[in-house]
Amino acid sequence: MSWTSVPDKAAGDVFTAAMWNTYIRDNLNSGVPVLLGDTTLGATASEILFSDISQEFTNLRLVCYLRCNNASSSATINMQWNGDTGSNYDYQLIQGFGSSVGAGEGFTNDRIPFGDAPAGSAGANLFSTSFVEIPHYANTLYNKSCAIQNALKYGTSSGNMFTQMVGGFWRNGAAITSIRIFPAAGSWVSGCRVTLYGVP
Amino acid sequence: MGYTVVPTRGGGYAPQESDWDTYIKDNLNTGVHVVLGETELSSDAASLDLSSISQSFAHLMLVGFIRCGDIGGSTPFLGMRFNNDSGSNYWYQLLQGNAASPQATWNAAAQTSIRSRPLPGPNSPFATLTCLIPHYTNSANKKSCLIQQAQTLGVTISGVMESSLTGGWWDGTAAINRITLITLTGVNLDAGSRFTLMGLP
Repeated sequence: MSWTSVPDKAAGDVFTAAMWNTYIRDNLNSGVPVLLGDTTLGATASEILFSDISQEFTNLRLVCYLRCNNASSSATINMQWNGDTGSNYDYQLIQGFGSSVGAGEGFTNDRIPFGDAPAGSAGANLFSTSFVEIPHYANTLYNKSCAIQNALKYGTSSGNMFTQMVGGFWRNGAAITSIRIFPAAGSWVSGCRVTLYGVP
Repeated sequence: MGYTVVPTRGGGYAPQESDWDTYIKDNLNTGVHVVLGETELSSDAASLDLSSISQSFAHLMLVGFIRCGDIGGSTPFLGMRFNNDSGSNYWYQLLQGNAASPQATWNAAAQTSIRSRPLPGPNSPFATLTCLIPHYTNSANKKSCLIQQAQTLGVTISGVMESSLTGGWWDGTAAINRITLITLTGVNLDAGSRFTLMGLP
């Protein structure tokens, strides 16, 4: 259901159940992107998990601000859906770093790698940005996919900054009900924030 | 606060204060994407400045429809500054596709703004721009953003179209309360350029 333009009302008009259901219920529940979950870490955590995701929307959107504590300059950000730890994920990557362009692919992965986050030896206070769109996540017929953008900086030398786009694919037609985001090594640090939206 | 699903109301419904507070006030203030500001330039301008940005949201998203008013004989890159900081405190890493060629570019020294791509001039179609700035209100850590830009010179010659994604970083840790878009050569943004800033809860 799409947005219904809210009409003007005159003095003395009665606010009816029909008005509530059309202009407030339907517009808010199925006419605008809404917040489904928001996690800001106050301490280290091995993962950020959104479960029991509402099935009422068309698409899902994630915004991520991440850093981990592994003893390295950066660590891959990983995603799994519905707790599936099997070798059921594929990905295609393109990235720019320094003056270089690279691309890569992976088949039968046990996770979708969606870019990287600064880690323990990265410059102080640096966090990565990621944006994830998961279309038609509630359908139970077709395999799921997602489109990801990621920006990583861990230093100020050539090759220390990455801009990346990733296509992620899941060999499963189940509706997505949970999303797990975890670093390849180490834990997320305090200050990380990940927000999940439902998009009508 | 998350979004609260709005229930159905039946015949004879009378508005309740709790309905207003939970389903209207809280949902609209903290549950949905909202427009924080929108500007369409009616005449050429040196910059676009969005100030006094609300600190009540989780993330910011900027959508732009933009070109230059005058190329001025040079190549006017688009730049973005936060909190009116014109110091050398910005970094970028670009990934772009142009004709059959992927390219990447970065800056070896800190810049005075986050640099995206050159803007089309007044005889070309407007460029499309989106920018995501996560966790913009935190005052402990440095800020980063993702800028996506697409444009064409409007003719069917190989190499006139490009699509780019830029990672941008600001060395500041202050909460972002102001965003300024400029051209690095100082030429004006064109009348008709339009920008919308959204707050994501």
